[in-house]
Amino acid sequence: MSIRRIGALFAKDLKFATRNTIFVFAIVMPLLVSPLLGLMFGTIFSEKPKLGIVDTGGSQLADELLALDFLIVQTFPTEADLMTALEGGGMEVGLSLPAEFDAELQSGARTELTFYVWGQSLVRNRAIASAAITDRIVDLTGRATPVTISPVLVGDQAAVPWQQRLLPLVVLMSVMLGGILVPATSMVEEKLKRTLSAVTTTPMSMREVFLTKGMMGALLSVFSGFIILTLNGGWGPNPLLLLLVLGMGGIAAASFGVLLGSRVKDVQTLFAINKSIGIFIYAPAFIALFPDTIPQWIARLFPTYYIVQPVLDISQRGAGLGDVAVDLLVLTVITAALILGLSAAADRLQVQVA
Amino acid sequence: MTTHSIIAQDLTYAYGGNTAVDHISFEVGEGEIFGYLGPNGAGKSTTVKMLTGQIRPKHGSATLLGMDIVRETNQVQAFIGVAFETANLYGQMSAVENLTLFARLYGVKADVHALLEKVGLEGRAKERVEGYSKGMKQRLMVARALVNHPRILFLDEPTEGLDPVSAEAIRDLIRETRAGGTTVFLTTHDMVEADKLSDRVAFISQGKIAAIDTPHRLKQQYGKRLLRVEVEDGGGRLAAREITLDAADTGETVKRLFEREKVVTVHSEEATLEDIFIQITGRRLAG
Repeated sequence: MSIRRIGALFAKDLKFATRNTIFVFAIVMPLLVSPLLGLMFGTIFSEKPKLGIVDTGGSQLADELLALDFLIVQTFPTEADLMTALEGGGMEVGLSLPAEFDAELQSGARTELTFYVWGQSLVRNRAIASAAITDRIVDLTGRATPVTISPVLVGDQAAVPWQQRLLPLVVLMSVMLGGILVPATSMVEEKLKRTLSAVTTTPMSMREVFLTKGMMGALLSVFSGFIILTLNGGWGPNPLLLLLVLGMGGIAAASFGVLLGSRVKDVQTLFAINKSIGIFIYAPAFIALFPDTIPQWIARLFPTYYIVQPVLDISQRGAGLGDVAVDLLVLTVITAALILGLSAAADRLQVQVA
Repeated sequence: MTTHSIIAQDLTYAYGGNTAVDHISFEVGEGEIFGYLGPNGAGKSTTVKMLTGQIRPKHGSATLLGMDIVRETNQVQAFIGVAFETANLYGQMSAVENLTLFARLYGVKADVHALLEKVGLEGRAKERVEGYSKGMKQRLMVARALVNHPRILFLDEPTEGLDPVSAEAIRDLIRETRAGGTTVFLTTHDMVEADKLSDRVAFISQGKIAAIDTPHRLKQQYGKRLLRVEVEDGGGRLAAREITLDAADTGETVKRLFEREKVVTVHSEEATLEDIFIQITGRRLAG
């Protein structure tokens, strides 16, 4: 392997990529889809988180929360009124503070606090309100973690917001589209124009060509994922882990793209195949659209599940390495199998293009 | 002692059950222009693919510049240049960009403008190659094959389909390259071109080498030198006479002809490589 040769071909591919519609689309797509994803992460079109409070004892916590300008806080006379507001979506989260709340808090007698959450509220808004409540309690007591906040879903608890249902599809599109199609089309064009045979009569080997095309796809894939998460504030608490998953997903997507490009004869056939296999690539995302009617375990049968699920777990639910380790292990095995396939494909293609 | 740039021993390749190159052996000397002649499908391109490391021989071996093409493919490829019969340039790129890319792939610094000047493309150096004529593309392919200052240059039908001026420009470049010490392996079915350029030629037919020698010796060995004579009969009509030059009684025959008939024109005629190819293999070169 020669970094110089790989760099030379990569620079050429990058320079002329702007004339490749797939490449441009893969770059532009995250910008087009961002408004949609913004809805999902709640970064646009969403108001401030709406917090309802029942404060029967004149708690100092309620006063502190009412003073916050990044929350819309409303008090309710009874818990029944608060529940009605939460079930109807008028409030996103709610607190019911008993009369003796402040005293219990100061004495350490209260160790739990119920946090009512409207089932269709945005994840981001839940997180902001929860963090604000925790911070104020810490300020009031002067202790690090005086109470555990237990969320209780209110309203249509089984319902998953459509924003969340669509999220896997958007993430998969951003990671897979450029990752697969850019190296695949590049390989097909090099074969059709016979430039591949010219390149491989220099000291550059077919494996180096594969690596170059794969790098382009993987970097584009990571770039698209990076942009879409950045524009929408979806990095969550473990950005490095998320970047690692994006990188692994990008490598898997690009490996598949190069493999596809090495086997397909022309661009028309490539797009026809891409359409027909699209259902398998995006299957985990489609399954996530219908959580009530399709058993969600079926998504695990598709390789791309092991890209999108860790991304969502880390981004939305704050998962750590331990939580996604099994999924990443499966993704590693899938990628290794693809790379082994590429090695055999390189030898076969060398004979074909000669 | 002659130094050999290329030594092929028992080279064999088969596509499935179809043997394209069948146990061929030959040697090409350093600085030699070696014409590899045969009709389409004879095994010329397959031989070149084996010699340039594009495919692995099924049997036999090839050594280029003392290096085994299978075991030391990358090292060999650093010292060879290949110009293909079919244009395979990056059409979206200019001539300069094409040559610069390949110089980088070889890891050499090349004066691409000087190369383009040599092939007469300096005026169109920055235009996209997809707008070039066939002749311009062919000249650029030859320039690309020279970008790494190769010690062995493989040319596959370099003047195929070109206008006479472009073809002659490429022939001049081949001669100039050879004068610089580069060995040229010229694959063609154009016997005139091979005759003009080659120091030695090999005839390949049905995957086997039928003959190898200098064009001159092949003509001497296999060809008949003739005198073609036009004579006028008594009625003013022209008739053709043919006299073999290398016969024992050639002098006497010519003398008798001039004494008995009214000779109008006399031309000497030498056998062409194609005549000899047909004589040896029973097949024509073209097609």
